[in-house]
Amino acid sequence: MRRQARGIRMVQELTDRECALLSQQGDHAAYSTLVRRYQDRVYRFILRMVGSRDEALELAQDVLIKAFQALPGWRPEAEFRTWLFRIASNTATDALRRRKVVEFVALDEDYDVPGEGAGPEAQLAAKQQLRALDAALNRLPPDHREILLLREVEDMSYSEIGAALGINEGTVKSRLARAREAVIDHYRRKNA
Amino acid sequence: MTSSMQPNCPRTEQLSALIDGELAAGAQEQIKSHAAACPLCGAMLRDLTDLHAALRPFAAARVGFDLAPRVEQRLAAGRRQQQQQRKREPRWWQGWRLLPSGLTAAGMLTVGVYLGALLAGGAGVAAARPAAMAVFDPVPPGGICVGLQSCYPQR
Repeated sequence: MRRQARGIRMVQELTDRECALLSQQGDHAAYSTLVRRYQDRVYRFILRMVGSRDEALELAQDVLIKAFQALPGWRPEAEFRTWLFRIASNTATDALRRRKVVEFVALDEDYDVPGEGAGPEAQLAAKQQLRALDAALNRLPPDHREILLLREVEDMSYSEIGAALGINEGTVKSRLARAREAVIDHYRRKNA
Repeated sequence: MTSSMQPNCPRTEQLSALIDGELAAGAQEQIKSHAAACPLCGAMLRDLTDLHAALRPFAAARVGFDLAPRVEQRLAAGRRQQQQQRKREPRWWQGWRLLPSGLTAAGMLTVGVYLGALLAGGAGVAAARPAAMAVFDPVPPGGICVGLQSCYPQR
């Protein structure tokens, strides 16, 4: 497998599954490829879950280390992405459980407000809208927030979210609708 | 379904699944045509679609540098720590751990049976006994049998 995959293509061109299989055999270059591929996705998911940039960075590394250590238990039938997000979700939940008070950082320049050509007023309005959305998101219970993030930000299907969080698709559907409704309600009340 | 919606309106769950493309084709068309005619469901559908678009900028957050070397460094440190821990363990203990537990159990059983037989004075165990202990024998010195009458001819 290793010779075939590595001989024909560069490791960066391999699929997640191929990289994970090579990593299981101890190929560190293949695992580094997976780290590079997923570091931003894991980081931004955890960032919006725990609210602190430094903590999110630390936890994202923990997730990637835990994933490598758990790789012997990964089966090729499981999609690597959903498997990784299950570890990320558990890590974020544990971190939230450890502390009683969650302080969320304000949005900053990490976020591109739409329309480079738009005037400063439009940009300010877009930024304010994003802040209000962020505040609404932070008010959601963690189990609703993570579903919304996986769907809206990570673009996962209901079955993928179900696999990542260990819940059935029906629960994903209802929880996601409740989360959306709550964010819209909160946003409306704040902007009324 | 929100309180202001009509009884025949689809639940928010259905509208939410509609924008995700997670409904069957038939249900999708039915809800779309309802939302086109119903001002409440139409507004809810627009809100859900707007939310979907408004949350997209959250996907822009980046780490900003390559995490792979850091992860590799931490993994290597973990491996070194494990190796050092293994080195610190005494060799005899490692050897002991390699012994099959069945063999150990069998050995313990043999020793137990042997000691038990010794205590019961079993015939299978030939233990050397000091001459001074002969006075405690059930057979008197010079005697042949313990209790059989045939050993003692009747007069």
